Amino acid sequence: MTTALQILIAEDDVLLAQLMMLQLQQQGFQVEWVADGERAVTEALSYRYDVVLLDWQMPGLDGLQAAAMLRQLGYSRCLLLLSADKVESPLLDACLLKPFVLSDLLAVIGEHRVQHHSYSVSAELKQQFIAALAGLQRQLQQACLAGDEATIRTIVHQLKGSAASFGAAAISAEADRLQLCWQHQPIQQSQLLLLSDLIDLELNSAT
Amino acid sequence: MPREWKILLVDDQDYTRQLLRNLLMSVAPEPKLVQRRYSFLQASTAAQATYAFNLYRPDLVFLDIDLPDGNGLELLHQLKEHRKDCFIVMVSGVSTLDNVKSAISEGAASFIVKPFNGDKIFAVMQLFDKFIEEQSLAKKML
Repeated sequence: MTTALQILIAEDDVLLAQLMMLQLQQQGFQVEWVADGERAVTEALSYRYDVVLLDWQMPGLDGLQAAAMLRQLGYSRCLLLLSADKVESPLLDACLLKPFVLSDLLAVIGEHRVQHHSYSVSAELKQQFIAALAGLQRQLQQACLAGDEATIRTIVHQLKGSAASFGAAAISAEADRLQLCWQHQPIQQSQLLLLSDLIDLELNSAT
Repeated sequence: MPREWKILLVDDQDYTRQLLRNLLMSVAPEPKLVQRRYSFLQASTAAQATYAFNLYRPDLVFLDIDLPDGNGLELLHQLKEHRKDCFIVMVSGVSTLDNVKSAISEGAASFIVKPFNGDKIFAVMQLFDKFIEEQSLAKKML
């Protein structure tokens, strides 16, 4: 089974981004979009994308600056620049000229098959994580009873960072969603129900 | 016998350090990487990390930003003051651009956003190979 290629588009022109997304989705690719170079850097560092397509002219961090930052950090995936003028740079795998032509992108993508480095967590290590997860669940319940927001935030932060590494991606995703939600709103304990259920599910499936 | 390269893993969660160690061991034999022998040191706090860093002089450090007794970015600053040439990789569950920029400006070689996977570790180890090669070239030029 082959997985659909994942593409990140960083483009501040909403209409152009929508057009590119539509065309690429029709080709069977999984596509995400961000509107600036800063988000492009932080998203790319998740290593979820096989190809990152950066518009050159963007507010804040432009496409070349974003590419420079990623390469400095050792980012090894395919970086493409979308520009009205041809740009030659060792930071880039290729430069695509505007106006955007789908066949140009497909030709470049065809040359850049990513080799993934898969890794399976040993049973012993997974067991160690499950034990820690049970402890975090207890701490979370105690923090909820005590109304201890700081501890709740810390535990959710820990779960976001660790769970997906051990195959519990749903827990990480829910913790991420809660963190984003709590950036601008106070914590409501009812929001923790799904997270708690997901942890129970993980714990039950391990026993 | 080839020298042993020391890697210091700094994270307050034991299972996270073990995971990182296992990932590094799993990625290290990749033919595209320079083959080296590695040994591992571990620290769960900033204080332990400072102690291990000064005592064992690791070649490579994976440093979590959130530590129970301090901020990893402040520790990065201190460690780089002691040894500018140490290859330090910041690790965080939160990839804000501010975090990434601060890490770079304080001298971090790379930045890994949790959760860990083989691809992220492989990219860092490729960068480490390049860094060692550049260092060795620089020494020859002197």
